Amino acid sequence: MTEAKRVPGYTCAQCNWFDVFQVTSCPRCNRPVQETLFSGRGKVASFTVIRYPPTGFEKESPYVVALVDIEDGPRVMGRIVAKPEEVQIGSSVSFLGNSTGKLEFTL
Amino acid sequence: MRGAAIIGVGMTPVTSGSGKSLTQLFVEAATQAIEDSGVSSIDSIYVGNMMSGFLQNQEHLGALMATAMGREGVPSYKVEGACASGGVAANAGVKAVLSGLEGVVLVGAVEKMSGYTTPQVTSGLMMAEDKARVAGTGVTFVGLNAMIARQYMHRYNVPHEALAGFSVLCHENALDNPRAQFHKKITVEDVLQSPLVADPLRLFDCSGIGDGAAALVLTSLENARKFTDSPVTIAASCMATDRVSLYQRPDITTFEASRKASGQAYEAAGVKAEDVDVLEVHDAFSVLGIMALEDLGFASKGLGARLVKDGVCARDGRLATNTFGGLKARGHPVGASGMYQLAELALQLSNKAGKCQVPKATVGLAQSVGGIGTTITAHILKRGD
Repeated sequence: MTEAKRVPGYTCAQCNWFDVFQVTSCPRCNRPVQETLFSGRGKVASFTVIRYPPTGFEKESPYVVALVDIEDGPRVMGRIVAKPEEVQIGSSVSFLGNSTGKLEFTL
Repeated sequence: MRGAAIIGVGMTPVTSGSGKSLTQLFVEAATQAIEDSGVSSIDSIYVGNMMSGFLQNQEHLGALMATAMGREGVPSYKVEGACASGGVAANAGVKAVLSGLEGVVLVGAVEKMSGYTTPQVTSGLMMAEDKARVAGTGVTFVGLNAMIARQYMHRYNVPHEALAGFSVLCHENALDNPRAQFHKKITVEDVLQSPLVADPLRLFDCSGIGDGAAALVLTSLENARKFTDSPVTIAASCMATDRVSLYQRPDITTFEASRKASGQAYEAAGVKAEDVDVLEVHDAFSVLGIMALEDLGFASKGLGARLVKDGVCARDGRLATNTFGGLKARGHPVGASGMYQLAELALQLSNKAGKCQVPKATVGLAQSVGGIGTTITAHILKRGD
């Protein structure tokens, strides 16, 4: 297996809070947070196929949105770039990037 | 007994394309409730609504509705808790009455969703999520619930047919409700063959897009006896919140806020789940109806659908559920649905439910859900005192 790109995130050394969204201080204990890199591997906790998209996503549908449990990090919501019929609960996924403003994974 | 009572009920029909404005809808329901109660003066108004700022470009609904009702001068609050706005407005009104500071309170809720494109409404509903964090994925509200449904079916080995039974039940009950949005009997097959909206959820797993308003007049139980011999008591009005976003929940097959709010409500009302004989749950999607049966204490996890299959939830069953059609078939004008539930329970408990009347109704429970299980109200209503 090739090494997947790692998922950038934030952690709090005080209370062990972590997430992938940028914050200026820990939302739980208000102490400073540190940048970190979570594993780029995860498993699909659940997923759906969006067939009636919101404004701005009309040209992309249908597309797969999933909850992914990052190996050593948080649960995140992101896209799985794959055919819907190939995705299952429990599928292993690798991080592709977040340059489009959303986390993208591949099978 | 100290408590709040419902002395007046009003509801508009739920329709798609009524042509009525937000204000007209609210005033119609509020006027009905006030006439039903016989009160002349109102001490305060609580207006539940979710999306007027987004869809109608209109806020300041408190003063807007007070003015439209010809009751300018009265304190009037807009209350918002996403799809639970109606339940939350009722909760605020009950607290106002119980505080003793306000004698007669009008609680109403309204939503107008028709006349907009599906992407517009879809974007509006996403305001109930942590939009800055998850909207970039292109997920929709149906999509979030679809992820719940898939995980639920997977974990508890429940087939789609079992979830579909909830939609069938609601459509059956709505046939007798003149205010219902849908008067159409459906079968499990119809649900399973309807178009996919967000896999695995199909069109008939989902509530529709509608306009509507409902309102109640509340006062203290003591004061209520001046207006009616048979007031409906609000024995408990409780609310709980959970982490706002679906990705923040370790278990997406249960709504912790539902368990919390209902647990507090049972305790406050001095009743147990088995005492409830008429139930209104927030079935915006079939899976939510089934999960509610479990989270409210009527079935173990994974077994909610059996209650529907065995006829327990039918109007002549031990736990008559969504007796006027629920969100699926009465309709789900989102911010108003929680108020419809309470209005319908009040009719059941005062024997005014017409063809929807259940044979024996003494304790009613309503559960309203805002966001993806994020803000949940639980109200327990009782007949008489």
